[in-house]
Amino acid sequence: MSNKIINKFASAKTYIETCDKYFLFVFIPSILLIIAGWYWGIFIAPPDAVQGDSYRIIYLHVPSSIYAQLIYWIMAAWSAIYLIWRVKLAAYLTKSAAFVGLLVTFLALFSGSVWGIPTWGTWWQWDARITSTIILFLMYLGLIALHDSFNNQNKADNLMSILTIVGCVNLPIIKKSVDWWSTLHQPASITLTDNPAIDPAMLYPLILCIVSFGFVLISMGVLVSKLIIFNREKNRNWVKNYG
Amino acid sequence: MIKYLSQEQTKLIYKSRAWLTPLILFALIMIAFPLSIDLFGKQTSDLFMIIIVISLLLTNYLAIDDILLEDYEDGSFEQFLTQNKSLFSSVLAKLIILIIYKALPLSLLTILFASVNNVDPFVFLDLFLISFFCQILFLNIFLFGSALGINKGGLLGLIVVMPIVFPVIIIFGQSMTLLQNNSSIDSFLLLSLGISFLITPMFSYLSSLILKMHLE
Repeated sequence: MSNKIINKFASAKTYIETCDKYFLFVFIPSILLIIAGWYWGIFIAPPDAVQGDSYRIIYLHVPSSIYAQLIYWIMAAWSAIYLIWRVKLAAYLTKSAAFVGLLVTFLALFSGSVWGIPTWGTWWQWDARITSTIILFLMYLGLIALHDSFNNQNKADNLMSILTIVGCVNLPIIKKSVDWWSTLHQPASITLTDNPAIDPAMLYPLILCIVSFGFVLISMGVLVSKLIIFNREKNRNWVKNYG
Repeated sequence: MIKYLSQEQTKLIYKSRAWLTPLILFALIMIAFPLSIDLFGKQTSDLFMIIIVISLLLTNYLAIDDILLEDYEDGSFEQFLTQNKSLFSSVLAKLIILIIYKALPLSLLTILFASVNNVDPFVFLDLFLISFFCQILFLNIFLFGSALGINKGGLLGLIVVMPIVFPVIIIFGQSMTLLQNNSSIDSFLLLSLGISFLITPMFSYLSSLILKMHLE
């Protein structure tokens, strides 16, 4: 019974059909919500007592920083699923997530640099958090480079999955960098264990942005994964008959 | 098995003089760097600690660059597989020989150059140990990278494992800073020793698994 369920959901065909069925129900609300979140954060939330209006970049910077790390954990989980159960779909999703992760990490770095100019007086500092985030960016880049350098896609999937799991060693360093080193970058304002160190008037739009940005990334990941699946399974009948 | 392989590898590495290249490069960097600063100044002892991390990183990358490639290209690994011999033992033996022939002499050279650069003799033992353990970590990671990109050139291997090298650079760099201030680095020594013991068999196994994938 359980094998039957796994086989059903591990099939690329079922995945594509499910995505097609629900994509618009996720994509359109997520776009509307992110616009609402950014509008709330940029035009309605009060200015910061110290930073003035420059802090409003958090509505892009914080969500992208959170997902830059979270996507890597998700990739590691999919890699493990691929290596243990040989579910091809997991390998496709790992690669598509690497592209989304690369983009999001770039956004986190870019928005951080833009924020750094008015607050730190410089767009770049060899600070522990920034350096560890650029390492994360290189990790995504390395994974994509490794996968693309092999013609044999199964071999590429295997190698990418192994490297993804080994690369997890950097994630605790990135997460804890602001606590372990004395850095210019502030410690996390929102944690799962403590009360948020941010005013509710600024926090609510931020939470809305974080949640909706997550759904935007899921939509983006679905689109990228569809491209990868169609490319990899182009000789299958169901792909030829698709649409 | 490992003993036999080690003897073979020792003969090979000794005959080819390949073990000399990283040592010469390391010596060259160590001789050249004081010349580029101030030959009689006190700066050399401070800068030595900084330059040592980067020079050992580079020389270890050079040391591992073609370690698997020769056996991969001449079919030795393929022969191993067809004869049902353990690829893991072969890779582990290669790594151990590399540690003995390259990492150990480089750590000894580090002490030699530390003494000529006016570094406090009090820290020599710690310096030797931390450079040795960190080199084991470097070699393991570069071996893994070499296995990943074996038929695609050394650069791919370097690019994909560079992010994994950074934690080692952090440990090594922090230790150097502490040694510069004559502080104890016991915790870092234990940490690097522990990780070395853990990742040497682990990365040898992963590298042999990857080589097997390349060969299949």
